[in-house]
Amino acid sequence: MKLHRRLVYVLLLVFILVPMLFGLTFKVKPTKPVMTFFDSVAELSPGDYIAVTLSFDPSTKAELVPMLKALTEHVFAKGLSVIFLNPGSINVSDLGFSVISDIASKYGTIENSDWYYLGYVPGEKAVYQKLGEDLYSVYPASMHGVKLNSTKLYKDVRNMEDVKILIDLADGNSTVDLLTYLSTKYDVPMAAGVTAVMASEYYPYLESGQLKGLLGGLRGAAEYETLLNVSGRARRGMAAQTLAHILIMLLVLMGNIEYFMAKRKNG
Amino acid sequence: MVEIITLILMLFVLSFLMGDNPFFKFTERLIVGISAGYGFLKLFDDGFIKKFWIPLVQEGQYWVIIPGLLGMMFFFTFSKKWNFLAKYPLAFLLGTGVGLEIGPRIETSILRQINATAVNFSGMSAGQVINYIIILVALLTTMYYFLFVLRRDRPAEKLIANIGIFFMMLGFGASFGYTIMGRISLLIEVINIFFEKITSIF
Repeated sequence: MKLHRRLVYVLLLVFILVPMLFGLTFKVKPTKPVMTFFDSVAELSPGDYIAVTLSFDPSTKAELVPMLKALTEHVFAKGLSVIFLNPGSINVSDLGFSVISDIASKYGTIENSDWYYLGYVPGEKAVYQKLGEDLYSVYPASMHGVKLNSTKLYKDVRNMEDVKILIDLADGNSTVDLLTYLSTKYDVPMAAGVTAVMASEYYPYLESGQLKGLLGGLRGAAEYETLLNVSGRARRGMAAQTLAHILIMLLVLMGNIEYFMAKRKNG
Repeated sequence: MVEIITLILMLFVLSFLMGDNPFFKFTERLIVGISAGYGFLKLFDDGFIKKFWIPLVQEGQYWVIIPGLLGMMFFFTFSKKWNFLAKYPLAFLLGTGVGLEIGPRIETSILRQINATAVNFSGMSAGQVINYIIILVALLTTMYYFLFVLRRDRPAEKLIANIGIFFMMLGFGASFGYTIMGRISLLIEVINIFFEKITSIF
């Protein structure tokens, strides 16, 4: 039997649309990597500093913006002071800022007082390394030009050794680079949220304890939303995701059965 | 208006499912052009203006002339006569890059990983011990598979290499599963945006 590829597209669309149109939801059970990620943020005290690096492009916002939203909700609700920066990706500056400032207005947190958006600087690996020595030699001002030496941040944080945890939301190799040039060298605890494609690469770093937690793809974001008890985009997308996976598993099975039957027929 | 443009462009991209066509090609080139333009402007502002022009002109930090000149030497790559000058900043980048890389990379990706493999089983639950044994067997058999200088004539040697292949297949399968999850997430997001735009128009 030959299954036309356009039929596969239509089937996939139906399997995704049906749960979305009928508002189907599935229970999402948080896994250990997500729970340890959540706990490493939850155990911090109000006023503690954390750093969040946005190392992704808008092309992967489907997976990483739900993570960013859930994480930002969590840290603002806890009253943590947050340094957001994107030295690993030039294209995420405005997208990241708009997502964060929307959530900040919901919690009444103030830019350059409760949270800081430092933006992009060129240099990547050299920048990562320098962040462990002197934050202000890399970022003398915020993305919008506010001199950091006039802020509370300047009194409290000299470099990344002064933050309680560094979290990287990434769609590339930045997590390994940050582990290499910053976390390992300056002993900065680190966790990461990565696209599903990247997730399997980071499990060794999780097993070794170099990463305190790991969010993998939309599923990771959905688990984080479950722990926060919010119904965000990731959780709502899980039913569609599950049904689409079932369809693909069926197609793979059918393809294999077809292959072996054809092999037997041809001797 | 923005919503309508978004919707139309989205449909143009999705039209690729029916085969390559001028609408898709137009959108493809539009994305490349806009991304390049946005990237150039951000790099000019965050790189040249903030890291070179303001420190030099407004703050009197004259030392930035040295890295500035070194960076500008890259433009000699367009000259047939002077393109050898572009190799100096490249040599600087390579040298510092390798110097920065070697030590920390060995520490992060090799030494700490070896350290994590050599664990003390005392105080662990039976499940944890089994997990670590599986990791150890997977590590050793996979590494054995890649020792190409060894002969694999005897059945025991073939078996060890095959176990390594088995574990690699499991790894590839997991990666493939995650890849599908990522692609489906993108599709879900496209459909979400589509409905949002439709709702905001009507």
